[in-house]
Amino acid sequence: MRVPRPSRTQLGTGALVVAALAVGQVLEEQLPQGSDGGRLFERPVSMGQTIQMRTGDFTPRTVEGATTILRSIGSGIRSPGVVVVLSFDFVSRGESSSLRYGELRDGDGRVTVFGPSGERNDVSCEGGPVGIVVHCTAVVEADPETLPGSTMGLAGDELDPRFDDMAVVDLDISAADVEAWKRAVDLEVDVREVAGMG
Amino acid sequence: MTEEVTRSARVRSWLAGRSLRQILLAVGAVILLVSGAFGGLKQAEADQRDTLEAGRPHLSEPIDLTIKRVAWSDDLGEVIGPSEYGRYLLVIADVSSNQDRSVDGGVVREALRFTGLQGFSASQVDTDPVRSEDAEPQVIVTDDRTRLDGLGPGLTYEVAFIWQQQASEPLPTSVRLLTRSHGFRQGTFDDAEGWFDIADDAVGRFPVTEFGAS
Repeated sequence: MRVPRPSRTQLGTGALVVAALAVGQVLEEQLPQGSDGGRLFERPVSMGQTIQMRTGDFTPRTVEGATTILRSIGSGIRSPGVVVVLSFDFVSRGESSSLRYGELRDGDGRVTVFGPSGERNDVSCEGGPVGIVVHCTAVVEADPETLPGSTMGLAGDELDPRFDDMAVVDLDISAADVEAWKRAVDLEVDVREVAGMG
Repeated sequence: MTEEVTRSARVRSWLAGRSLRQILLAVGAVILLVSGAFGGLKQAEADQRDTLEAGRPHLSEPIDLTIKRVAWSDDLGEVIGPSEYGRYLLVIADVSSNQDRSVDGGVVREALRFTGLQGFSASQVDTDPVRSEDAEPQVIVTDDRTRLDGLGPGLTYEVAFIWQQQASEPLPTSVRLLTRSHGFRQGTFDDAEGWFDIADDAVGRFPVTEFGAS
Protein backbone atom coordinates (compact mmCIF):
# COMPACT_ATOMS: atom_id res chain seq x y z
CA MET A 1 0.00 0.00 0.00
CA ARG A 2 1.30 3.43 -0.85
CA VAL A 3 1.28 6.08 1.87
CA PRO A 4 -0.18 9.38 0.55
CA ARG A 5 2.34 12.19 0.54
CA PRO A 6 1.24 15.25 2.62
CA SER A 7 0.91 18.55 0.83
CA ARG A 8 3.01 21.58 1.85
CA THR A 9 -0.10 23.14 3.41
CA GLN A 10 -0.70 20.07 5.57
CA LEU A 11 2.95 19.99 6.63
CA GLY A 12 2.84 23.72 7.49
CA THR A 13 -0.36 23.29 9.54
CA GLY A 14 1.20 20.40 11.44
CA ALA A 15 4.34 22.41 12.13
CA LEU A 16 2.26 25.35 13.40
CA VAL A 17 0.27 23.09 15.75
CA VAL A 18 3.49 21.60 17.16
CA ALA A 19 4.98 25.10 17.55
CA ALA A 20 1.84 26.35 19.36
CA LEU A 21 1.95 23.39 21.74
CA ALA A 22 5.64 24.04 22.45
CA VAL A 23 4.99 27.75 23.14
CA GLY A 24 2.08 26.81 25.43
CA GLN A 25 4.31 24.41 27.35
CA VAL A 26 7.05 27.05 27.79
CA LEU A 27 4.50 29.65 28.94
CA GLU A 28 2.98 27.15 31.40
CA GLU A 29 6.42 26.51 32.88
CA GLN A 30 7.53 30.13 33.01
CA LEU A 31 4.39 31.88 34.30
CA PRO A 32 3.91 31.98 38.10
CA GLN A 33 1.76 29.16 39.46
CA GLY A 34 -0.68 28.73 42.36
CA SER A 35 -1.24 31.55 44.83
CA ASP A 36 1.78 33.41 43.43
CA GLY A 37 0.13 33.65 40.01
CA GLY A 38 -2.89 35.59 41.26
CA ARG A 39 -1.23 37.72 43.91
CA LEU A 40 -2.54 41.22 44.33
CA PHE A 41 -0.77 44.34 43.06
CA GLU A 42 0.28 45.98 46.30
CA ARG A 43 0.13 49.76 46.69
CA PRO A 44 1.96 50.81 49.87
CA VAL A 45 0.52 53.85 51.67
CA SER A 46 1.24 55.72 54.90
CA MET A 47 -1.24 57.25 57.31
CA GLY A 48 -2.77 60.47 55.87
CA GLN A 49 -1.46 59.83 52.35
CA THR A 50 -3.86 59.25 49.40
CA ILE A 51 -3.30 56.61 46.74
CA GLN A 52 -5.21 55.83 43.57
CA MET A 53 -6.50 52.28 43.49
CA ARG A 54 -8.13 50.73 40.43
CA THR A 55 -11.63 51.52 41.68
CA GLY A 56 -11.11 54.69 43.70
CA ASP A 57 -8.98 56.90 45.96
CA PHE A 58 -7.95 55.52 49.34
CA THR A 59 -6.77 57.51 52.37
CA PRO A 60 -5.98 55.89 55.75
CA ARG A 61 -6.76 58.31 58.58
CA THR A 62 -6.18 56.87 62.06
CA VAL A 63 -5.39 53.63 63.83
CA GLU A 64 -6.56 52.86 67.38
CA GLY A 65 -6.76 49.82 69.61
CA ALA A 66 -8.32 48.39 72.77
CA THR A 67 -9.26 45.05 74.30
CA THR A 68 -12.99 45.74 73.96
CA ILE A 69 -14.94 47.78 71.41
CA LEU A 70 -18.49 49.12 71.11
CA ARG A 71 -19.91 49.49 67.60
CA SER A 72 -22.43 52.14 66.49
CA ILE A 73 -24.17 49.27 64.61
CA GLY A 74 -23.71 45.57 65.37
CA SER A 75 -22.04 43.69 68.17
CA GLY A 76 -19.32 44.90 70.48
CA ILE A 77 -16.53 42.44 71.18
CA ARG A 78 -14.17 41.47 73.97
CA SER A 79 -10.91 40.12 72.58
CA PRO A 80 -8.38 37.68 74.05
CA GLY A 81 -5.80 39.89 72.28
CA VAL A 82 -6.33 43.48 71.19
CA VAL A 83 -8.72 44.92 68.62
CA VAL A 84 -7.12 47.13 65.96
CA VAL A 85 -9.39 49.72 64.34
CA LEU A 86 -8.29 51.48 61.15
CA SER A 87 -10.37 54.44 59.97
CA PHE A 88 -10.03 55.34 56.30
CA ASP A 89 -11.73 57.27 53.51
CA PHE A 90 -12.63 55.88 50.11
CA VAL A 91 -13.92 57.74 47.05
CA SER A 92 -15.28 55.58 44.22
CA ARG A 93 -14.19 56.43 40.70
CA GLY A 94 -16.25 55.68 37.56
CA GLU A 95 -18.81 53.50 39.33
CA SER A 96 -19.80 52.83 42.92
CA SER A 97 -17.23 50.42 44.38
CA SER A 98 -16.64 48.74 47.73
CA LEU A 99 -13.66 47.52 49.75
CA ARG A 100 -14.67 44.17 51.21
CA TYR A 101 -11.38 42.32 51.74
CA GLY A 102 -8.93 42.97 54.57
CA GLU A 103 -5.79 41.30 55.85
CA LEU A 104 -3.62 42.18 58.83
CA ARG A 105 0.02 41.17 58.49
CA ASP A 106 1.62 41.24 61.90
CA GLY A 107 5.24 41.94 62.77
CA ASP A 108 6.10 38.23 62.48
CA GLY A 109 4.55 37.97 59.01
CA ARG A 110 1.46 36.12 60.23
CA VAL A 111 -1.75 37.02 58.40
CA THR A 112 -5.36 37.44 59.55
CA VAL A 113 -7.84 37.60 56.67
CA PHE A 114 -11.26 39.19 57.17
CA GLY A 115 -14.25 40.45 55.19
CA PRO A 116 -17.57 42.29 55.53
CA SER A 117 -20.43 41.35 57.86
CA GLY A 118 -18.25 39.62 60.44
CA GLU A 119 -19.49 39.83 64.00
CA ARG A 120 -15.90 40.22 65.23
CA ASN A 121 -13.45 41.10 62.45
CA ASP A 122 -15.02 43.27 59.79
CA VAL A 123 -14.23 45.69 56.98
CA SER A 124 -17.14 48.02 56.49
CA CYS A 125 -16.82 50.04 53.29
CA GLU A 126 -19.77 49.55 50.96
CA GLY A 127 -19.66 51.72 47.88
CA GLY A 128 -21.08 55.24 48.07
CA PRO A 129 -21.97 57.61 45.24
CA VAL A 130 -19.14 58.22 42.75
CA GLY A 131 -16.92 61.11 43.82
CA ILE A 132 -18.31 61.30 47.39
CA VAL A 133 -16.09 60.49 50.38
CA VAL A 134 -17.16 57.43 52.40
CA HIS A 135 -15.73 57.15 55.92
CA CYS A 136 -14.96 53.47 56.56
CA THR A 137 -13.53 51.23 59.27
CA ALA A 138 -11.62 47.97 59.38
CA VAL A 139 -11.76 46.05 62.68
CA VAL A 140 -9.48 43.10 63.35
CA GLU A 141 -8.29 41.19 66.43
CA ALA A 142 -4.59 40.51 66.81
CA ASP A 143 -1.99 38.97 69.07
CA PRO A 144 -0.51 41.99 70.89
CA GLU A 145 2.94 40.40 71.14
CA THR A 146 3.55 40.62 67.39
CA LEU A 147 1.55 43.75 66.57
CA PRO A 148 4.41 46.30 66.27
CA GLY A 149 5.49 46.50 62.63
CA SER A 150 2.09 45.42 61.28
CA THR A 151 0.56 46.44 57.98
CA MET A 152 -3.04 46.14 56.80
CA GLY A 153 -4.10 45.30 53.26
CA LEU A 154 -7.48 46.40 51.84
CA ALA A 155 -8.92 45.31 48.50
CA GLY A 156 -12.19 44.97 46.60
CA ASP A 157 -13.60 41.45 46.56
CA GLU A 158 -13.69 39.36 49.74
CA LEU A 159 -14.43 36.07 47.98
CA ASP A 160 -11.67 36.25 45.39
CA PRO A 161 -9.42 39.31 45.68
CA ARG A 162 -6.78 37.86 43.32
CA PHE A 163 -5.46 39.78 40.30
CA ASP A 164 -6.79 43.12 41.60
CA ASP A 165 -4.85 45.78 43.51
CA MET A 166 -4.62 46.21 47.27
CA ALA A 167 -3.74 49.19 49.44
CA VAL A 168 -1.14 48.15 52.03
CA VAL A 169 -1.21 50.55 54.97
CA ASP A 170 1.82 50.98 57.22
CA LEU A 171 -0.01 51.05 60.57
CA ASP A 172 3.04 52.50 62.33
CA ILE A 173 2.20 50.73 65.62
CA SER A 174 4.85 50.96 68.34
CA ALA A 175 5.37 48.74 71.39
CA ALA A 176 4.19 51.68 73.54
CA ASP A 177 0.94 51.87 71.51
CA VAL A 178 0.32 48.18 72.13
CA GLU A 179 0.92 48.52 75.89
CA ALA A 180 -1.61 51.36 76.02
CA TRP A 181 -4.16 49.39 73.94
CA LYS A 182 -3.84 46.37 76.26
CA ARG A 183 -5.19 48.59 79.05
CA ALA A 184 -7.84 50.40 76.94
CA VAL A 185 -11.50 49.31 76.95
CA ASP A 186 -14.78 50.20 75.24
CA LEU A 187 -13.34 51.91 72.18
CA GLU A 188 -16.29 53.36 70.24
CA VAL A 189 -16.30 52.42 66.56
CA ASP A 190 -18.42 54.20 63.95
CA VAL A 191 -19.42 51.96 61.12
CA ARG A 192 -19.40 53.28 57.49
CA GLU A 193 -20.77 56.73 56.87
CA VAL A 194 -21.18 58.75 53.69
CA ALA A 195 -19.86 62.34 54.05
CA GLY A 196 -22.65 64.85 54.60
CA MET A 197 -25.26 62.18 55.39
CA GLY A 198 -26.43 60.56 58.59
CA MET B 1 -22.05 -27.73 21.74
CA THR B 2 -20.81 -31.28 22.27
CA GLU B 3 -17.25 -30.00 22.45
CA GLU B 4 -18.22 -27.50 25.21
CA VAL B 5 -19.94 -30.22 27.25
CA THR B 6 -16.91 -32.43 26.93
CA ARG B 7 -14.59 -29.60 28.02
CA SER B 8 -16.65 -28.71 31.15
CA ALA B 9 -16.89 -32.43 32.04
CA ARG B 10 -13.10 -32.66 31.82
CA VAL B 11 -12.70 -29.58 34.07
CA ARG B 12 -15.13 -31.03 36.64
CA SER B 13 -13.35 -34.34 36.55
CA TRP B 14 -9.95 -32.62 36.98
CA LEU B 15 -11.27 -30.57 39.94
CA ALA B 16 -12.81 -33.70 41.52
CA GLY B 17 -9.34 -35.26 41.46
CA ARG B 18 -7.81 -32.36 43.45
CA SER B 19 -7.81 -32.16 47.23
CA LEU B 20 -9.35 -29.15 49.08
CA ARG B 21 -5.82 -28.10 50.11
CA GLN B 22 -4.68 -28.04 46.48
CA ILE B 23 -7.71 -25.98 45.41
CA LEU B 24 -7.18 -23.43 48.23
CA LEU B 25 -3.49 -23.14 47.36
CA ALA B 26 -4.38 -22.58 43.70
CA VAL B 27 -6.95 -19.86 44.59
CA GLY B 28 -4.37 -18.20 46.88
CA ALA B 29 -1.77 -18.25 44.10
CA VAL B 30 -4.21 -16.62 41.66
CA ILE B 31 -5.08 -13.88 44.20
CA LEU B 32 -1.39 -13.20 44.79
CA LEU B 33 -0.61 -13.06 41.07
CA VAL B 34 -3.56 -10.80 40.20
CA SER B 35 -3.07 -8.45 43.17
CA GLY B 36 0.69 -8.42 42.45
CA ALA B 37 -0.03 -6.89 39.06
CA PHE B 38 -1.69 -3.96 40.88
CA GLY B 39 0.97 -3.45 43.54
CA GLY B 40 0.30 -6.40 45.83
CA LEU B 41 -1.90 -6.84 48.86
CA LYS B 42 -1.51 -4.15 51.47
CA GLN B 43 -1.97 -4.51 55.18
CA ALA B 44 -5.07 -2.65 56.28
CA GLU B 45 -4.18 0.33 58.43
CA ALA B 46 -5.25 0.00 62.01
CA ASP B 47 -7.62 2.65 63.36
CA GLN B 48 -5.23 5.55 63.96
CA ARG B 49 -7.81 7.76 65.62
CA ASP B 50 -6.73 9.45 68.80
CA THR B 51 -8.88 9.40 71.93
CA LEU B 52 -10.46 12.65 73.06
CA GLU B 53 -10.47 13.46 76.76
CA ALA B 54 -11.90 16.42 78.65
CA GLY B 55 -9.24 19.05 79.29
CA ARG B 56 -6.60 17.44 77.05
CA PRO B 57 -5.54 19.49 73.96
CA HIS B 58 -5.91 17.75 70.63
CA LEU B 59 -4.63 19.00 67.26
CA SER B 60 -7.26 18.48 64.62
CA GLU B 61 -5.39 20.15 61.77
CA PRO B 62 -5.41 23.18 61.57
CA ILE B 63 -7.19 23.68 64.92
CA ASP B 64 -5.97 23.06 68.45
CA LEU B 65 -9.05 21.94 70.34
CA THR B 66 -9.48 21.36 74.07
CA ILE B 67 -12.93 20.00 74.91
CA LYS B 68 -13.99 21.06 78.39
CA ARG B 69 -17.53 19.72 78.75
CA VAL B 70 -20.78 18.83 76.99
CA ALA B 71 -24.09 20.31 78.15
CA TRP B 72 -27.73 20.62 77.18
CA SER B 73 -30.27 23.42 77.64
CA ASP B 74 -33.74 24.46 76.46
CA ASP B 75 -32.89 28.15 76.72
CA LEU B 76 -29.53 29.90 76.39
CA GLY B 77 -30.88 33.18 77.68
CA GLU B 78 -29.96 36.62 76.43
CA VAL B 79 -28.70 36.93 72.83
CA ILE B 80 -29.34 33.30 71.77
CA GLY B 81 -32.71 32.68 73.49
CA PRO B 82 -34.87 29.54 73.82
CA SER B 83 -34.60 26.69 71.33
CA GLU B 84 -37.50 26.70 68.89
CA TYR B 85 -36.41 23.26 67.70
CA GLY B 86 -36.41 21.36 70.97
CA ARG B 87 -33.17 21.59 72.91
CA TYR B 88 -29.61 22.80 72.54
CA LEU B 89 -26.63 20.48 72.83
CA LEU B 90 -23.39 22.36 73.46
CA VAL B 91 -19.71 21.55 73.54
CA ILE B 92 -17.62 24.06 75.46
CA ALA B 93 -14.04 24.10 74.18
CA ASP B 94 -10.91 26.21 73.79
CA VAL B 95 -9.86 26.71 70.18
CA SER B 96 -6.76 28.20 68.59
CA SER B 97 -4.85 27.69 65.37
CA ASN B 98 -1.29 26.49 64.79
CA GLN B 99 -1.11 28.31 61.47
CA ASP B 100 0.56 31.55 60.38
CA ARG B 101 -2.55 32.42 58.35
CA SER B 102 -5.98 32.76 59.93
CA VAL B 103 -8.43 29.88 59.59
CA ASP B 104 -11.93 30.58 58.33
CA GLY B 105 -14.88 30.08 60.69
CA GLY B 106 -16.34 27.48 58.31
CA VAL B 107 -13.36 25.21 59.00
CA VAL B 108 -13.96 25.54 62.74
CA ARG B 109 -17.62 24.61 62.29
CA GLU B 110 -16.60 21.48 60.37
CA ALA B 111 -14.11 20.34 63.04
CA LEU B 112 -16.50 18.74 65.54
CA ARG B 113 -19.51 16.42 65.37
CA PHE B 114 -21.60 14.20 67.64
CA THR B 115 -21.95 10.64 66.37
CA GLY B 116 -24.89 8.25 66.50
CA LEU B 117 -27.63 10.77 67.39
CA GLN B 118 -30.73 11.69 65.39
CA GLY B 119 -33.09 14.63 64.93
CA PHE B 120 -30.55 17.45 64.61
CA SER B 121 -31.22 20.71 62.80
CA ALA B 122 -29.01 20.59 59.67
CA SER B 123 -27.72 24.13 60.25
CA GLN B 124 -28.92 27.52 61.39
CA VAL B 125 -30.40 28.19 57.96
CA ASP B 126 -31.61 24.70 57.02
CA THR B 127 -33.70 23.20 59.84
CA ASP B 128 -34.45 19.85 58.20
CA PRO B 129 -33.80 17.06 60.74
CA VAL B 130 -30.61 15.13 59.97
CA ARG B 131 -28.35 12.70 61.83
CA SER B 132 -25.81 14.35 64.12
CA GLU B 133 -22.84 13.63 61.82
CA ASP B 134 -24.42 15.87 59.15
CA ALA B 135 -25.43 18.79 61.39
CA GLU B 136 -23.35 21.98 61.34
CA PRO B 137 -23.13 23.88 64.66
CA GLN B 138 -22.91 27.57 65.24
CA VAL B 139 -19.74 28.56 67.06
CA ILE B 140 -20.15 31.32 69.62
CA VAL B 141 -17.42 33.01 71.68
CA THR B 142 -18.56 32.55 75.28
CA ASP B 143 -17.00 35.79 76.52
CA ASP B 144 -19.19 38.13 74.46
CA ARG B 145 -21.71 35.81 72.70
CA THR B 146 -20.59 36.76 69.19
CA ARG B 147 -20.12 34.41 66.26
CA LEU B 148 -16.53 33.25 65.69
CA ASP B 149 -15.81 34.36 62.12
CA GLY B 150 -12.28 32.97 62.05
CA LEU B 151 -9.23 32.02 64.10
CA GLY B 152 -6.36 34.49 63.94
CA PRO B 153 -2.76 33.50 64.70
CA GLY B 154 -1.81 33.57 68.38
CA LEU B 155 -5.36 33.94 69.75
CA THR B 156 -7.20 31.39 71.90
CA TYR B 157 -10.97 31.57 72.38
CA GLU B 158 -13.34 29.70 74.64
CA VAL B 159 -16.27 28.86 72.38
CA ALA B 160 -19.54 26.97 72.48
CA PHE B 161 -20.29 24.66 69.54
CA ILE B 162 -24.10 24.74 69.56
CA TRP B 163 -26.48 22.30 67.87
CA GLN B 164 -30.27 21.95 68.15
CA GLN B 165 -32.01 18.60 68.56
CA GLN B 166 -35.69 17.74 68.37
CA ALA B 167 -37.33 17.31 71.80
CA SER B 168 -38.91 14.03 70.58
CA GLU B 169 -35.43 12.45 70.62
CA PRO B 170 -34.30 11.10 74.02
CA LEU B 171 -31.98 13.40 75.95
CA PRO B 172 -28.56 11.70 75.89
CA THR B 173 -26.76 11.18 79.20
CA SER B 174 -23.46 10.69 77.42
CA VAL B 175 -22.36 11.38 73.86
CA ARG B 176 -19.63 10.30 71.48
CA LEU B 177 -17.70 13.21 69.92
CA LEU B 178 -15.69 13.08 66.73
CA THR B 179 -13.05 15.61 65.61
CA ARG B 180 -12.28 16.10 61.94
CA SER B 181 -9.05 17.42 60.45
CA HIS B 182 -8.48 19.24 57.17
CA GLY B 183 -5.70 19.34 54.59
CA PHE B 184 -4.39 22.53 52.94
CA ARG B 185 -4.17 22.57 49.16
CA GLN B 186 -5.13 24.39 46.00
CA GLY B 187 -8.80 23.96 45.11
CA THR B 188 -9.68 22.15 41.90
CA PHE B 189 -12.54 24.53 41.07
CA ASP B 190 -10.78 27.91 40.99
CA ASP B 191 -7.16 27.19 42.06
CA ALA B 192 -7.70 29.18 45.27
CA GLU B 193 -5.85 27.69 48.25
CA GLY B 194 -7.84 26.54 51.26
CA TRP B 195 -8.62 23.83 53.80
CA PHE B 196 -10.27 20.78 52.22
CA ASP B 197 -10.21 16.99 52.57
CA ILE B 198 -12.06 16.48 55.86
CA ALA B 199 -10.97 13.30 57.68
CA ASP B 200 -12.11 11.81 61.01
CA ASP B 201 -9.17 11.93 63.43
CA ALA B 202 -10.23 11.41 67.07
CA VAL B 203 -13.19 10.19 69.11
CA GLY B 204 -14.17 10.27 72.75
CA ARG B 205 -17.17 9.78 75.01
CA PHE B 206 -18.32 12.61 77.31
CA PRO B 207 -21.08 12.93 79.92
CA VAL B 208 -23.86 15.45 79.23
CA THR B 209 -24.78 17.81 82.05
CA GLU B 210 -27.40 20.52 82.24
CA PHE B 211 -26.00 23.87 81.11
CA GLY B 212 -25.56 26.22 84.03
CA ALA B 213 -25.58 23.40 86.61
CA SER B 214 -22.16 23.05 88.19
